[in-house]
Amino acid sequence: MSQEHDPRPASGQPATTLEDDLRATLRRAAENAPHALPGLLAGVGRRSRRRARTRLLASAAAVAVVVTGTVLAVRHERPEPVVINPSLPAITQEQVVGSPPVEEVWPGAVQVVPASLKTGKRLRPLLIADAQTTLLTTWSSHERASAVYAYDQRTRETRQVTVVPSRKGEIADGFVIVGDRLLWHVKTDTSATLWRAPLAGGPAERLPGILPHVPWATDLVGDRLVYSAGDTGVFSVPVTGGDPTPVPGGEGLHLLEWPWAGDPLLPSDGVQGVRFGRLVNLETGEVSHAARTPGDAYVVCGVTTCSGLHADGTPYVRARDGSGERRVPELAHGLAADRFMAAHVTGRAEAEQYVIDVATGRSGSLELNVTLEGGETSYTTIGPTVDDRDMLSAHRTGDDTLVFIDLRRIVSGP
Amino acid sequence: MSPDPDFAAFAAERADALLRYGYVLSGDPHDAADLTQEALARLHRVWPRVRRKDNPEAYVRVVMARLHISVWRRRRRESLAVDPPDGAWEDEHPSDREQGLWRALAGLPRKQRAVLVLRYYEDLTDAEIAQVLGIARGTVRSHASHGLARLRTVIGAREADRSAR
Repeated sequence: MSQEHDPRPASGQPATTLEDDLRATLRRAAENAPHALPGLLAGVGRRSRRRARTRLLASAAAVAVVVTGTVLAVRHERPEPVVINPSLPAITQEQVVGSPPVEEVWPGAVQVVPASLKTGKRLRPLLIADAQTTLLTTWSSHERASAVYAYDQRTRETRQVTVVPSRKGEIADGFVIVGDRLLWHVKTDTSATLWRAPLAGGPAERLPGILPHVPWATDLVGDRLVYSAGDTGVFSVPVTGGDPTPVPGGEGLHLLEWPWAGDPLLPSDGVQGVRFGRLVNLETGEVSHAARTPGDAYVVCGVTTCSGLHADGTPYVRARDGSGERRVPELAHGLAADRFMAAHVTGRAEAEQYVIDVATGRSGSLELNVTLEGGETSYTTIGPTVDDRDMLSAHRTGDDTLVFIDLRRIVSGP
Repeated sequence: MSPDPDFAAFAAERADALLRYGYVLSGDPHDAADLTQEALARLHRVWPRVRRKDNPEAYVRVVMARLHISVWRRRRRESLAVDPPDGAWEDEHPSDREQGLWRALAGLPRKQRAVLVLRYYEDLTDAEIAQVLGIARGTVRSHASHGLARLRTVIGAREADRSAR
Protein backbone atom coordinates (compact mmCIF):
# COMPACT_ATOMS: atom_id res chain seq x y z
CA MET A 1 0.00 0.00 0.00
CA SER A 2 1.03 3.56 -0.51
CA GLN A 3 2.67 5.38 2.29
CA GLU A 4 1.20 8.67 3.34
CA HIS A 5 2.99 11.21 1.27
CA ASP A 6 5.42 13.57 2.91
CA PRO A 7 6.06 16.57 0.69
CA ARG A 8 9.46 17.32 2.11
CA PRO A 9 12.17 16.06 -0.19
CA ALA A 10 13.93 13.22 1.58
CA SER A 11 17.48 14.12 2.38
CA GLY A 12 20.18 11.60 1.72
CA GLN A 13 18.24 9.98 -1.09
CA PRO A 14 19.67 9.72 -4.57
CA ALA A 15 19.04 13.00 -6.38
CA THR A 16 17.53 11.34 -9.41
CA THR A 17 14.35 9.69 -8.24
CA LEU A 18 11.31 10.13 -10.38
CA GLU A 19 9.85 12.41 -7.73
CA ASP A 20 12.87 14.70 -7.75
CA ASP A 21 12.85 14.80 -11.51
CA LEU A 22 9.17 15.61 -11.46
CA ARG A 23 9.79 18.53 -9.10
CA ALA A 24 12.52 19.86 -11.35
CA THR A 25 10.44 19.37 -14.47
CA LEU A 26 7.46 21.23 -13.05
CA ARG A 27 9.62 24.10 -11.77
CA ARG A 28 11.31 24.50 -15.11
CA ALA A 29 8.05 24.23 -17.03
CA ALA A 30 6.57 26.94 -14.81
CA GLU A 31 9.34 29.29 -15.92
CA ASN A 32 8.01 28.95 -19.43
CA ALA A 33 4.46 29.72 -18.48
CA PRO A 34 2.76 32.65 -20.20
CA HIS A 35 3.02 36.07 -18.58
CA ALA A 36 -0.01 38.13 -17.77
CA LEU A 37 -0.68 40.69 -20.46
CA PRO A 38 -2.74 43.78 -19.94
CA GLY A 39 -6.26 42.81 -20.85
CA LEU A 40 -5.96 39.22 -19.74
CA LEU A 41 -7.49 40.28 -16.47
CA ALA A 42 -9.91 42.70 -18.07
CA GLY A 43 -13.41 41.76 -17.22
CA VAL A 44 -12.37 39.68 -14.23
CA GLY A 45 -13.14 42.42 -11.81
CA ARG A 46 -16.14 43.86 -13.59
CA ARG A 47 -19.39 43.59 -11.87
CA SER A 48 -22.91 43.73 -12.90
CA ARG A 49 -25.99 43.30 -10.86
CA ARG A 50 -28.36 44.62 -13.42
CA ARG A 51 -30.36 42.44 -15.70
CA ALA A 52 -31.62 45.19 -17.92
CA ARG A 53 -33.35 43.54 -20.83
CA THR A 54 -33.64 46.89 -22.55
CA ARG A 55 -29.92 46.94 -23.05
CA LEU A 56 -30.16 44.98 -26.24
CA LEU A 57 -32.28 47.67 -27.81
CA ALA A 58 -29.84 50.31 -26.70
CA SER A 59 -26.99 48.47 -28.33
CA ALA A 60 -28.88 48.15 -31.61
CA ALA A 61 -29.31 51.90 -31.64
CA ALA A 62 -25.62 52.37 -30.94
CA VAL A 63 -24.74 50.20 -33.91
CA ALA A 64 -26.86 52.32 -36.20
CA VAL A 65 -25.14 55.49 -35.04
CA VAL A 66 -21.70 54.07 -35.62
CA VAL A 67 -22.56 52.86 -39.09
CA THR A 68 -23.96 56.19 -40.24
CA GLY A 69 -20.92 57.86 -38.75
CA THR A 70 -18.64 56.06 -41.15
CA VAL A 71 -20.44 57.22 -44.26
CA LEU A 72 -18.70 60.34 -45.38
CA ALA A 73 -19.68 62.52 -48.26
CA VAL A 74 -16.63 63.31 -50.34
CA ARG A 75 -17.10 66.18 -52.74
CA HIS A 76 -16.34 65.35 -56.31
CA GLU A 77 -17.88 66.83 -59.40
CA ARG A 78 -20.50 64.17 -59.03
CA PRO A 79 -20.78 63.88 -55.28
CA GLU A 80 -21.30 60.40 -54.00
CA PRO A 81 -20.92 58.93 -50.57
CA VAL A 82 -17.78 56.96 -49.91
CA VAL A 83 -17.84 54.36 -47.19
CA ILE A 84 -14.68 54.49 -45.14
CA ASN A 85 -13.65 51.01 -44.05
CA PRO A 86 -16.29 50.45 -41.41
CA SER A 87 -14.49 48.66 -38.65
CA LEU A 88 -17.19 46.69 -36.91
CA PRO A 89 -18.53 48.18 -33.71
CA ALA A 90 -17.20 46.77 -30.48
CA ILE A 91 -19.29 44.32 -28.53
CA THR A 92 -19.14 45.49 -24.93
CA GLN A 93 -19.96 43.72 -21.74
CA GLU A 94 -22.59 46.35 -21.04
CA GLN A 95 -24.44 45.33 -24.20
CA VAL A 96 -24.23 41.67 -23.33
CA VAL A 97 -25.27 41.82 -19.69
CA GLY A 98 -28.99 41.41 -19.28
CA SER A 99 -29.52 39.72 -22.64
CA PRO A 100 -32.65 37.55 -22.82
CA PRO A 101 -32.35 33.78 -22.44
CA VAL A 102 -30.76 31.98 -25.38
CA GLU A 103 -34.08 30.28 -26.20
CA GLU A 104 -35.67 33.68 -26.79
CA VAL A 105 -32.75 35.02 -28.79
CA TRP A 106 -32.44 31.95 -31.02
CA PRO A 107 -35.84 30.25 -30.94
CA GLY A 108 -35.85 26.96 -32.79
CA ALA A 109 -32.14 26.46 -32.20
CA VAL A 110 -32.30 25.83 -28.46
CA GLN A 111 -33.52 22.76 -26.61
CA VAL A 112 -33.85 22.56 -22.85
CA VAL A 113 -33.68 19.07 -21.42
CA PRO A 114 -33.87 17.50 -17.94
CA ALA A 115 -30.38 16.96 -16.58
CA SER A 116 -31.13 13.80 -14.66
CA LEU A 117 -33.03 10.56 -14.96
CA LYS A 118 -35.96 9.75 -12.72
CA THR A 119 -33.54 7.62 -10.75
CA GLY A 120 -31.57 10.77 -10.02
CA LYS A 121 -28.63 9.76 -12.21
CA ARG A 122 -26.89 12.76 -13.81
CA LEU A 123 -27.14 13.15 -17.57
CA ARG A 124 -24.44 14.79 -19.66
CA PRO A 125 -24.97 16.46 -23.02
CA LEU A 126 -23.86 14.43 -26.03
CA LEU A 127 -25.31 15.81 -29.24
CA ILE A 128 -28.34 17.22 -31.01
CA ALA A 129 -30.05 14.54 -33.11
CA ASP A 130 -32.71 16.75 -34.72
CA ALA A 131 -34.88 19.77 -33.95
CA GLN A 132 -36.78 17.82 -31.28
CA THR A 133 -34.29 15.29 -30.04
CA THR A 134 -31.11 15.49 -28.02
CA LEU A 135 -28.81 12.68 -26.95
CA LEU A 136 -27.36 12.43 -23.47
CA THR A 137 -25.13 10.07 -21.57
CA THR A 138 -24.70 8.86 -18.06
CA TRP A 139 -21.19 8.38 -16.72
CA SER A 140 -19.83 5.41 -14.87
CA SER A 141 -16.85 7.48 -13.77
CA HIS A 142 -15.33 10.79 -14.74
CA GLU A 143 -15.92 11.31 -18.47
CA ARG A 144 -16.63 7.62 -19.04
CA ALA A 145 -19.94 7.25 -20.83
CA SER A 146 -21.96 4.28 -19.64
CA ALA A 147 -25.27 4.62 -21.49
CA VAL A 148 -26.86 6.88 -24.10
CA TYR A 149 -30.34 8.35 -23.72
CA ALA A 150 -32.56 10.33 -26.09
CA TYR A 151 -34.87 13.11 -24.93
CA ASP A 152 -37.83 14.03 -27.11
CA GLN A 153 -39.17 17.59 -26.77
CA ARG A 154 -42.65 16.55 -27.99
CA THR A 155 -43.26 13.65 -25.64
CA ARG A 156 -40.96 15.03 -22.93
CA GLU A 157 -39.67 11.57 -22.38
CA THR A 158 -36.19 10.24 -21.92
CA ARG A 159 -35.54 6.78 -23.30
CA GLN A 160 -32.43 4.66 -23.29
CA VAL A 161 -30.78 4.28 -26.69
CA THR A 162 -28.01 1.88 -25.78
CA VAL A 163 -25.56 0.77 -23.16
CA VAL A 164 -22.00 1.78 -23.93
CA PRO A 165 -19.62 -1.06 -23.22
CA SER A 166 -16.23 0.06 -21.99
CA ARG A 167 -13.66 -1.37 -19.66
CA LYS A 168 -11.56 0.48 -17.15
CA GLY A 169 -9.05 2.65 -18.95
CA GLU A 170 -11.21 2.93 -22.05
CA ILE A 171 -13.13 6.00 -23.09
CA ALA A 172 -16.09 6.13 -25.46
CA ASP A 173 -15.95 9.30 -27.52
CA GLY A 174 -16.64 10.90 -30.90
CA PHE A 175 -20.36 10.11 -31.03
CA VAL A 176 -21.93 10.95 -34.42
CA ILE A 177 -25.20 10.08 -36.08
CA VAL A 178 -24.96 8.09 -39.29
CA GLY A 179 -28.41 7.66 -40.80
CA ASP A 180 -30.52 5.84 -38.24
CA ARG A 181 -27.55 4.77 -36.18
CA LEU A 182 -25.25 6.19 -33.56
CA LEU A 183 -21.54 5.65 -34.24
CA TRP A 184 -18.67 6.16 -31.79
CA HIS A 185 -15.23 4.93 -30.94
CA VAL A 186 -13.84 3.41 -27.78
CA LYS A 187 -10.20 4.27 -27.20
CA THR A 188 -7.39 2.95 -25.09
CA ASP A 189 -4.00 4.62 -24.76
CA THR A 190 -2.86 3.32 -28.11
CA SER A 191 -5.77 2.27 -30.28
CA ALA A 192 -9.51 2.49 -30.82
CA THR A 193 -12.43 0.41 -32.01
CA LEU A 194 -15.61 1.55 -33.72
CA TRP A 195 -19.03 0.81 -32.28
CA ARG A 196 -22.58 1.50 -33.34
CA ALA A 197 -26.13 1.14 -32.10
CA PRO A 198 -29.56 1.84 -33.61
CA LEU A 199 -30.93 5.26 -32.64
CA ALA A 200 -34.32 3.64 -32.16
CA GLY A 201 -32.79 1.65 -29.32
CA GLY A 202 -30.84 -1.57 -29.16
CA PRO A 203 -27.58 -3.17 -28.18
CA ALA A 204 -24.20 -1.75 -29.15
CA GLU A 205 -22.30 -3.65 -31.78
CA ARG A 206 -18.57 -3.60 -32.28
CA LEU A 207 -17.55 -3.00 -35.89
CA PRO A 208 -14.75 -4.95 -37.57
CA GLY A 209 -11.21 -3.60 -37.56
CA ILE A 210 -8.98 -1.75 -35.14
CA LEU A 211 -7.80 1.82 -35.53
CA PRO A 212 -4.09 1.82 -34.64
CA HIS A 213 -4.51 5.40 -33.44
CA VAL A 214 -6.16 7.39 -30.70
CA PRO A 215 -8.60 9.67 -32.52
CA TRP A 216 -8.76 13.26 -31.27
CA ALA A 217 -11.10 15.00 -33.64
CA THR A 218 -13.61 13.27 -35.90
CA ASP A 219 -15.94 14.31 -38.68
CA LEU A 220 -18.37 12.46 -40.86
CA VAL A 221 -17.78 12.70 -44.61
CA GLY A 222 -20.28 10.70 -46.66
CA ASP A 223 -19.94 7.08 -45.66
CA ARG A 224 -16.54 7.53 -44.06
CA LEU A 225 -15.45 8.68 -40.65
CA VAL A 226 -12.50 11.06 -40.89
CA TYR A 227 -10.31 11.55 -37.86
CA SER A 228 -6.99 12.99 -36.84
CA ALA A 229 -4.78 11.29 -34.31
CA GLY A 230 -2.12 13.23 -32.47
CA ASP A 231 0.66 14.35 -34.76
CA THR A 232 0.35 11.35 -37.02
CA GLY A 233 -2.14 12.94 -39.36
CA VAL A 234 -5.61 12.53 -40.80
CA PHE A 235 -7.17 9.16 -41.59
CA SER A 236 -10.49 7.84 -42.78
CA VAL A 237 -12.34 4.60 -42.19
CA PRO A 238 -15.69 3.31 -43.52
CA VAL A 239 -18.53 3.94 -41.07
CA THR A 240 -19.22 0.22 -41.29
CA GLY A 241 -15.74 -0.56 -39.93
CA GLY A 242 -12.59 -1.81 -41.57
CA ASP A 243 -9.07 -0.57 -42.00
CA PRO A 244 -8.28 3.13 -41.88
CA THR A 245 -6.37 4.78 -44.71
CA PRO A 246 -4.35 8.00 -44.50
CA VAL A 247 -5.91 11.04 -46.13
CA PRO A 248 -3.36 12.34 -48.67
CA GLY A 249 -1.84 15.64 -47.63
CA GLY A 250 -3.00 15.21 -44.04
CA GLU A 251 0.31 14.08 -42.55
CA GLY A 252 0.98 15.77 -39.22
CA LEU A 253 -2.22 17.83 -39.40
CA HIS A 254 -5.14 18.08 -37.00
CA LEU A 255 -8.68 17.89 -38.30
CA LEU A 256 -10.70 21.02 -37.63
CA GLU A 257 -13.72 20.61 -39.87
CA TRP A 258 -13.66 18.64 -43.08
CA PRO A 259 -12.06 19.42 -45.49
CA TRP A 260 -9.95 21.70 -43.32
CA ALA A 261 -7.10 20.36 -41.19
CA GLY A 262 -4.21 22.37 -39.86
CA ASP A 263 -1.49 23.07 -37.39
CA PRO A 264 -0.24 23.80 -34.90
CA LEU A 265 -2.72 22.41 -32.43
CA LEU A 266 -0.49 23.48 -29.58
CA PRO A 267 1.97 26.15 -30.71
CA SER A 268 5.56 25.58 -29.61
CA ASP A 269 6.25 29.31 -29.48
CA GLY A 270 4.19 29.92 -26.35
CA VAL A 271 1.43 32.48 -26.13
CA GLN A 272 2.58 34.23 -29.31
CA GLY A 273 1.92 31.08 -31.32
CA VAL A 274 -1.23 30.97 -33.41
CA ARG A 275 -3.32 27.87 -32.90
CA PHE A 276 -4.44 26.55 -36.31
CA GLY A 277 -2.47 29.37 -37.96
CA ARG A 278 -2.12 27.19 -41.05
CA LEU A 279 -5.02 25.31 -42.57
CA VAL A 280 -4.97 22.90 -45.49
CA ASN A 281 -7.99 21.99 -47.56
CA LEU A 282 -7.61 18.23 -47.87
CA GLU A 283 -9.82 18.13 -50.97
CA THR A 284 -8.13 20.85 -53.02
CA GLY A 285 -4.73 21.31 -51.38
CA GLU A 286 -5.45 25.01 -50.80
CA VAL A 287 -3.43 26.43 -47.91
CA SER A 288 -4.64 29.28 -45.70
CA HIS A 289 -2.34 31.22 -43.38
CA ALA A 290 -3.96 33.37 -40.74
CA ALA A 291 -2.96 37.03 -40.67
CA ARG A 292 -0.66 37.85 -37.77
CA THR A 293 -0.26 41.08 -35.87
CA PRO A 294 3.03 41.47 -33.99
CA GLY A 295 2.56 41.36 -30.24
CA ASP A 296 -0.72 39.47 -30.34
CA ALA A 297 -1.17 36.60 -27.92
CA TYR A 298 -3.55 33.71 -27.32
CA VAL A 299 -4.61 33.68 -30.96
CA VAL A 300 -6.82 30.73 -31.90
CA CYS A 301 -8.09 30.39 -35.44
CA GLY A 302 -10.94 28.46 -36.96
CA VAL A 303 -11.86 27.92 -40.59
CA THR A 304 -12.83 31.54 -41.25
CA THR A 305 -12.14 33.55 -38.08
CA CYS A 306 -9.58 34.08 -35.32
CA SER A 307 -9.76 35.39 -31.78
CA GLY A 308 -6.93 36.83 -29.72
CA LEU A 309 -5.50 39.57 -27.58
CA HIS A 310 -3.63 42.60 -28.94
CA ALA A 311 -0.45 43.74 -27.23
CA ASP A 312 -2.35 46.66 -25.67
CA GLY A 313 -4.73 44.21 -24.02
CA THR A 314 -7.64 44.54 -26.43
CA PRO A 315 -9.48 41.25 -26.93
CA TYR A 316 -10.68 40.89 -30.51
CA VAL A 317 -12.19 38.63 -33.12
CA ARG A 318 -11.63 38.97 -36.86
CA ALA A 319 -11.52 37.08 -40.13
CA ARG A 320 -8.53 34.82 -40.80
CA ASP A 321 -7.21 37.40 -43.27
CA GLY A 322 -7.26 40.07 -40.54
CA SER A 323 -10.29 41.96 -41.89
CA GLY A 324 -13.53 42.76 -40.09
CA GLU A 325 -11.95 43.14 -36.70
CA ARG A 326 -14.25 43.58 -33.76
CA ARG A 327 -13.50 44.23 -30.12
CA VAL A 328 -15.18 41.76 -27.75
CA PRO A 329 -15.81 41.94 -23.99
CA GLU A 330 -13.24 39.35 -23.00
CA LEU A 331 -10.60 37.11 -24.46
CA ALA A 332 -12.16 34.25 -26.39
CA HIS A 333 -10.11 31.08 -26.64
CA GLY A 334 -11.30 30.35 -30.14
CA LEU A 335 -14.79 30.79 -31.59
CA ALA A 336 -17.29 27.94 -31.77
CA ALA A 337 -18.54 27.43 -35.34
CA ASP A 338 -16.31 30.40 -36.23
CA ARG A 339 -18.58 32.97 -34.59
CA PHE A 340 -19.72 32.15 -31.05
CA MET A 341 -17.98 32.96 -27.77
CA ALA A 342 -19.05 33.10 -24.16
CA ALA A 343 -18.72 35.89 -21.62
CA HIS A 344 -18.81 35.22 -17.91
CA VAL A 345 -20.07 38.01 -15.71
CA THR A 346 -19.86 37.81 -11.95
CA GLY A 347 -21.48 40.25 -9.64
CA ARG A 348 -21.80 40.50 -5.91
CA ALA A 349 -25.06 38.61 -5.86
CA GLU A 350 -25.01 36.43 -8.95
CA ALA A 351 -22.99 35.06 -11.80
CA GLU A 352 -24.16 34.55 -15.33
CA GLN A 353 -22.74 33.43 -18.61
CA TYR A 354 -23.74 34.73 -22.02
CA VAL A 355 -23.28 33.33 -25.50
CA ILE A 356 -22.34 35.98 -28.05
CA ASP A 357 -22.69 35.67 -31.82
CA VAL A 358 -19.84 37.93 -32.90
CA ALA A 359 -21.10 37.97 -36.49
CA THR A 360 -24.36 39.69 -35.57
CA GLY A 361 -23.55 41.08 -32.13
CA ARG A 362 -26.55 39.25 -30.67
CA SER A 363 -26.17 37.62 -27.29
CA GLY A 364 -28.25 35.35 -25.11
CA SER A 365 -28.10 34.42 -21.46
CA LEU A 366 -27.43 30.80 -20.58
CA GLU A 367 -29.62 31.43 -17.51
CA LEU A 368 -27.25 29.67 -15.17
CA ASN A 369 -28.80 31.97 -12.55
CA VAL A 370 -26.04 31.32 -10.08
CA THR A 371 -26.80 32.94 -6.77
CA LEU A 372 -23.67 33.97 -4.98
CA GLU A 373 -25.05 34.88 -1.62
CA GLY A 374 -24.32 32.48 1.17
CA GLY A 375 -20.74 31.60 0.44
CA GLU A 376 -19.22 29.05 -1.86
CA THR A 377 -21.33 27.89 -4.78
CA SER A 378 -20.26 25.28 -7.26
CA TYR A 379 -21.35 25.80 -10.82
CA THR A 380 -20.20 24.99 -14.29
CA THR A 381 -19.58 27.41 -17.11
CA ILE A 382 -18.85 26.57 -20.70
CA GLY A 383 -15.65 27.17 -22.64
CA PRO A 384 -16.45 27.38 -26.34
CA THR A 385 -13.54 26.86 -28.70
CA VAL A 386 -12.78 26.10 -32.33
CA ASP A 387 -13.44 22.41 -31.83
CA ASP A 388 -17.11 23.15 -31.14
CA ARG A 389 -18.53 23.10 -34.64
CA ASP A 390 -22.10 21.93 -34.07
CA MET A 391 -23.44 22.85 -30.68
CA LEU A 392 -22.84 24.32 -27.26
CA SER A 393 -24.41 23.03 -24.09
CA ALA A 394 -24.56 24.13 -20.49
CA HIS A 395 -25.93 22.85 -17.22
CA ARG A 396 -28.49 25.08 -15.55
CA THR A 397 -27.71 23.97 -12.06
CA GLY A 398 -30.64 25.69 -10.38
CA ASP A 399 -33.46 24.01 -12.28
CA ASP A 400 -31.29 21.00 -13.19
CA THR A 401 -31.69 21.24 -16.93
CA LEU A 402 -29.30 21.09 -19.83
CA VAL A 403 -29.52 23.71 -22.53
CA PHE A 404 -28.40 22.73 -26.04
CA ILE A 405 -27.70 25.42 -28.62
CA ASP A 406 -27.71 24.22 -32.23
CA LEU A 407 -25.03 26.41 -33.78
CA ARG A 408 -25.50 24.99 -37.27
CA ARG A 409 -29.15 25.99 -37.20
CA ILE A 410 -28.29 29.56 -36.18
CA VAL A 411 -25.56 29.84 -38.79
CA SER A 412 -27.76 28.52 -41.60
CA GLY A 413 -30.40 31.11 -40.73
CA PRO A 414 -34.14 30.88 -40.22
CA MET B 1 -18.78 50.68 -10.81
CA SER B 2 -15.10 49.97 -10.60
CA PRO B 3 -13.62 46.81 -9.16
CA ASP B 4 -12.23 46.85 -5.63
CA PRO B 5 -8.82 48.46 -5.82
CA ASP B 6 -7.34 45.81 -3.56
CA PHE B 7 -8.82 43.00 -5.65
CA ALA B 8 -7.37 44.57 -8.78
CA ALA B 9 -4.02 44.89 -7.04
CA PHE B 10 -4.12 41.28 -5.92
CA ALA B 11 -5.01 40.07 -9.42
CA ALA B 12 -2.30 42.14 -11.05
CA GLU B 13 0.32 41.12 -8.53
CA ARG B 14 -0.45 37.40 -8.50
CA ALA B 15 -1.43 36.88 -12.14
CA ASP B 16 1.99 35.67 -13.25
CA ALA B 17 2.29 33.20 -10.39
CA LEU B 18 -1.23 31.93 -11.03
CA LEU B 19 -0.47 31.55 -14.73
CA ARG B 20 2.58 29.46 -13.83
CA TYR B 21 0.44 27.27 -11.63
CA GLY B 22 -2.22 27.00 -14.33
CA TYR B 23 0.45 26.07 -16.82
CA VAL B 24 1.85 23.18 -14.82
CA LEU B 25 -1.68 22.04 -14.01
CA SER B 26 -2.83 22.03 -17.61
CA GLY B 27 0.37 21.90 -19.67
CA ASP B 28 -0.99 24.51 -22.03
CA PRO B 29 -0.64 28.31 -22.08
CA HIS B 30 -4.16 28.89 -23.37
CA ASP B 31 -5.67 26.69 -20.71
CA ALA B 32 -3.49 28.40 -18.12
CA ALA B 33 -4.87 31.78 -19.13
CA ASP B 34 -8.39 30.43 -19.18
CA LEU B 35 -8.09 28.84 -15.75
CA THR B 36 -6.55 31.97 -14.27
CA GLN B 37 -9.24 34.25 -15.65
CA GLU B 38 -12.07 32.04 -14.53
CA ALA B 39 -10.66 31.46 -11.07
CA LEU B 40 -10.02 35.17 -10.53
CA ALA B 41 -13.56 35.93 -11.67
CA ARG B 42 -14.85 33.50 -9.08
CA LEU B 43 -12.56 34.92 -6.44
CA HIS B 44 -13.81 38.39 -7.16
CA ARG B 45 -17.37 37.61 -6.23
CA VAL B 46 -16.42 36.32 -2.82
CA TRP B 47 -13.62 38.83 -2.37
CA PRO B 48 -14.89 40.62 0.75
CA ARG B 49 -15.30 37.36 2.64
CA VAL B 50 -12.10 35.72 1.42
CA ARG B 51 -10.02 38.82 2.04
CA ARG B 52 -11.37 39.07 5.54
CA LYS B 53 -11.25 35.46 6.62
CA ASP B 54 -9.23 33.38 4.24
CA ASN B 55 -6.16 33.51 2.16
CA PRO B 56 -7.12 34.73 -1.34
CA GLU B 57 -4.16 33.05 -2.96
CA ALA B 58 -5.01 29.68 -1.43
CA TYR B 59 -8.65 30.15 -2.39
CA VAL B 60 -7.90 30.90 -6.01
CA ARG B 61 -5.51 27.96 -6.27
CA VAL B 62 -8.14 25.60 -4.95
CA VAL B 63 -10.61 26.95 -7.50
CA MET B 64 -8.08 26.47 -10.30
CA ALA B 65 -7.34 22.88 -9.32
CA ARG B 66 -11.03 22.03 -9.07
CA LEU B 67 -11.87 23.74 -12.32
CA HIS B 68 -9.12 21.83 -14.01
CA ILE B 69 -10.46 18.44 -12.98
CA SER B 70 -14.10 19.42 -13.51
CA VAL B 71 -15.99 19.28 -16.74
CA TRP B 72 -15.73 23.03 -16.87
CA ARG B 73 -14.04 22.80 -20.22
CA ARG B 74 -14.76 19.74 -22.24
CA ARG B 75 -12.65 21.17 -25.00
CA ARG B 76 -9.70 19.13 -26.16
CA ARG B 77 -10.29 16.49 -23.57
CA GLU B 78 -9.16 13.99 -26.19
CA SER B 79 -5.73 15.52 -26.21
CA LEU B 80 -5.38 14.77 -22.54
CA ALA B 81 -5.69 11.07 -23.08
CA VAL B 82 -2.71 10.67 -25.37
CA ASP B 83 0.85 11.82 -25.81
CA PRO B 84 0.89 15.46 -26.80
CA PRO B 85 2.97 17.09 -29.48
CA ASP B 86 6.38 18.39 -28.52
CA GLY B 87 6.37 21.50 -26.44
CA ALA B 88 9.75 23.14 -26.82
CA TRP B 89 11.20 25.13 -23.96
CA GLU B 90 12.57 28.42 -25.02
CA ASP B 91 15.20 29.68 -22.66
CA GLU B 92 17.07 26.81 -21.18
CA HIS B 93 17.87 23.35 -22.26
CA PRO B 94 16.30 20.88 -19.91
CA SER B 95 17.51 17.34 -19.95
CA ASP B 96 15.90 14.84 -22.26
CA ARG B 97 14.49 13.21 -19.18
CA GLU B 98 12.74 16.41 -18.14
CA GLN B 99 11.40 16.98 -21.62
CA GLY B 100 10.20 13.40 -21.65
CA LEU B 101 8.55 13.78 -18.26
CA TRP B 102 6.76 16.96 -19.31
CA ARG B 103 5.38 15.19 -22.35
CA ALA B 104 4.47 12.13 -20.34
CA LEU B 105 2.58 14.32 -17.87
CA ALA B 106 0.32 15.44 -20.66
CA GLY B 107 -0.63 11.83 -21.24
CA LEU B 108 -2.03 11.45 -17.73
CA PRO B 109 -5.72 11.68 -16.91
CA ARG B 110 -6.53 15.08 -15.48
CA LYS B 111 -6.98 14.01 -11.88
CA GLN B 112 -3.73 12.09 -11.81
CA ARG B 113 -1.89 15.06 -13.19
CA ALA B 114 -3.54 17.43 -10.73
CA VAL B 115 -2.54 15.22 -7.81
CA LEU B 116 1.08 15.08 -8.98
CA VAL B 117 1.22 18.84 -9.52
CA LEU B 118 -0.22 19.49 -6.07
CA ARG B 119 2.29 17.08 -4.55
CA TYR B 120 5.43 18.03 -6.39
CA TYR B 121 4.83 21.61 -7.48
CA GLU B 122 2.67 22.88 -4.64
CA ASP B 123 4.32 20.60 -2.08
CA LEU B 124 1.04 19.71 -0.41
CA THR B 125 0.49 16.68 1.77
CA ASP B 126 -1.97 14.04 0.65
CA ALA B 127 -4.42 15.25 3.27
CA GLU B 128 -4.22 18.77 1.86
CA ILE B 129 -4.57 17.49 -1.68
CA ALA B 130 -7.68 15.57 -0.67
CA GLN B 131 -9.17 18.81 0.65
CA VAL B 132 -8.17 20.87 -2.35
CA LEU B 133 -9.66 18.45 -4.86
CA GLY B 134 -12.56 17.40 -2.66
CA ILE B 135 -11.73 13.70 -2.90
CA ALA B 136 -10.86 11.00 -0.39
CA ARG B 137 -7.32 10.66 0.84
CA GLY B 138 -7.16 7.10 -0.43
CA THR B 139 -8.15 8.34 -3.86
CA VAL B 140 -5.29 10.83 -3.76
CA ARG B 141 -2.84 8.03 -3.04
CA SER B 142 -4.30 5.89 -5.76
CA HIS B 143 -4.15 8.69 -8.34
CA ALA B 144 -0.58 9.48 -7.32
CA SER B 145 0.61 5.91 -7.51
CA HIS B 146 -1.09 5.29 -10.85
CA GLY B 147 0.26 8.54 -12.20
CA LEU B 148 3.80 7.85 -11.08
CA ALA B 149 3.60 4.30 -12.40
CA ARG B 150 2.48 5.59 -15.76
CA LEU B 151 5.26 8.16 -15.88
CA ARG B 152 7.75 5.50 -14.92
CA THR B 153 6.58 3.27 -17.72
CA VAL B 154 6.70 6.06 -20.24
CA ILE B 155 10.10 7.42 -19.41
CA GLY B 156 11.68 4.29 -17.94
CA ALA B 157 12.52 5.45 -14.47
CA ARG B 158 15.37 4.05 -12.46
CA GLU B 159 15.09 0.98 -10.33
CA ALA B 160 16.50 2.96 -7.44
CA ASP B 161 13.34 5.03 -7.26
CA ARG B 162 11.67 4.18 -4.02
CA SER B 163 8.57 6.27 -4.35
CA ALA B 164 4.91 5.45 -4.24
CA ARG B 165 4.73 1.80 -3.53
